[in-house]
Amino acid sequence: MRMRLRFEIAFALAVKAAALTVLYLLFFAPAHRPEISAAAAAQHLYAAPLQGGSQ
Amino acid sequence: MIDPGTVELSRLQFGLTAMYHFLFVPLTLGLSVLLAIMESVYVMTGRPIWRDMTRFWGVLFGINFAMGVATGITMEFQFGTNWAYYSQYVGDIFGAPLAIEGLMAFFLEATFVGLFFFGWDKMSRVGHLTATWLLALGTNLSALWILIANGWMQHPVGAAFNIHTMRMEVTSFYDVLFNPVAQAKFVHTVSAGYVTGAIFVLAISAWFLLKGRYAEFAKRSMTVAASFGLAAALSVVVLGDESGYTASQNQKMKIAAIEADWQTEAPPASFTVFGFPDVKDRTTHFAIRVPWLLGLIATRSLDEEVPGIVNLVAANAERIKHGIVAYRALETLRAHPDDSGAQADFANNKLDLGYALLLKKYTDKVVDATPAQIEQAAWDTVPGVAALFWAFRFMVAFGLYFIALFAFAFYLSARRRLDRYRWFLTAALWTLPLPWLSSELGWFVAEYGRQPWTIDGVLPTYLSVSSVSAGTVWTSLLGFVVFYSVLAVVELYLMVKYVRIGPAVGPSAAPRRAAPVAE
Repeated sequence: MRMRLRFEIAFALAVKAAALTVLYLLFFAPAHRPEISAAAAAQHLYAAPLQGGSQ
Repeated sequence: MIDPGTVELSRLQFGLTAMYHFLFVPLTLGLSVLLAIMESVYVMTGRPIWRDMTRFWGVLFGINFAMGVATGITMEFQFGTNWAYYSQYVGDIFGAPLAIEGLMAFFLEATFVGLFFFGWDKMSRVGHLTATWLLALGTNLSALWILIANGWMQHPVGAAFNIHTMRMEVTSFYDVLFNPVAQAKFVHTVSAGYVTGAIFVLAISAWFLLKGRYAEFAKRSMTVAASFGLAAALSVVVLGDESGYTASQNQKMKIAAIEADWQTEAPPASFTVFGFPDVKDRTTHFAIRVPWLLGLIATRSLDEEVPGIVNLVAANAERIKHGIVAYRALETLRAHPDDSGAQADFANNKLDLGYALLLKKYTDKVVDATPAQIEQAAWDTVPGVAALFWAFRFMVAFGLYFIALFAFAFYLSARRRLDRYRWFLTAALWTLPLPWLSSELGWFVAEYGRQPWTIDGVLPTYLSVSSVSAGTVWTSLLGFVVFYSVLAVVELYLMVKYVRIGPAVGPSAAPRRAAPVAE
């Protein structure tokens, strides 16, 4: 029983690691990440209005 | 330009991933301590049934740990991508506890998980018990560092805005560490995890008794769960009261929204047990109130006011006006750093700078904001009253029910009648999902109640998100939903499968089959 459990957990962990890697590469890898410098943050916080003006 | 769709989707994505992640966490917190208690009894008494209990509940702990591990990392993904401005603005403070959690607590936890599972035949009894306690310690330390980070978002102490780097920076790590909000949230959250672990053991043991399987094993497990669970459930209420008190001192609007407390009452304020908050008319219909109770809970005094929403909005409008002065001074200082008038204005009003940022939703010229825009921004500081009102009441109701359930289980355990009442066993079994539900409600109250801020009073949520496209966030959100749903299904499948298989009961234990509880 324990060998079976170990196999199932190891399999689930491997699939989970693969899924997380795919999600990371598709959406969150550095290529998808906006580069925000201090100057860009200052510009954002002290210049950019919300699209549409109000809600 | 900030796309409101991206803001709402980024919030939804973060909220969903956090809530999915927290399906796994409370059971890990609670079961790790229960395992350590069971194994301690085994080491002290030498009775094999306690080792069997530790190993069986340890298998279920292992399944939950394996499915839950790294599910929180998706939130770290999002900080860099969806919340880049947040990360830039407060990463100096917020990043430190997260890094310490990963380096210290999680490695401790992960190391001793390995020793717990693979060390049974390779270590002495005391050595293995030490590993189990260190596993529980690592698990709880993980929670501590995460809640220090979260506590700082609720009550940002030990940090200041640096006009040169244009970001928040640590001024006192001691204050960040011993933030009263973080400490109160930590003990409240881990006790809720202990309740989850105890109900998990109680419910599955009740199922064994209902099926007439592993009676001795199940009754001993229930005895541990009842006593530990009763202490934990009482702690949740006491520590929740402390958490509420710290919130009432530092997040008055959150408390006013939870209580649907529209107007400031003469002290001591009454507590609304039931009612229907009406946001449009700013009143609560059919309210049933208990005199004095809110005043006593929120201020621990008879003569201190609990400010109502309308009064707090007026106060926040003033803070926005002070924030505008700080904002104007900051603009001047960036062009003329030696301007003494601007320096004085900034120093006198800098604590309200974040409130001026609320106006960015309505105008790009914050310093020229109209009174109408200021009022609009001030009303934005009110989180969703009805949702908070009801979420809090359901959470509290569940907490009180857990105390009653554990108290009765404790009484039955002391009288050795745990298997006597079928209705009690059925109730214990059906209680199984409730601690998860109440934990999620608790997080909802904490996080939704912090809106419209990511960092309370410092950084509005809509200014924290990155300029990523709504389509990208939609797609990654869909990916997360599929990922977490599959994980939850696999967890349920494995849990049910190994619960059905049951403990590997040794010769010391009672027969595998006993008569099912008939009454």
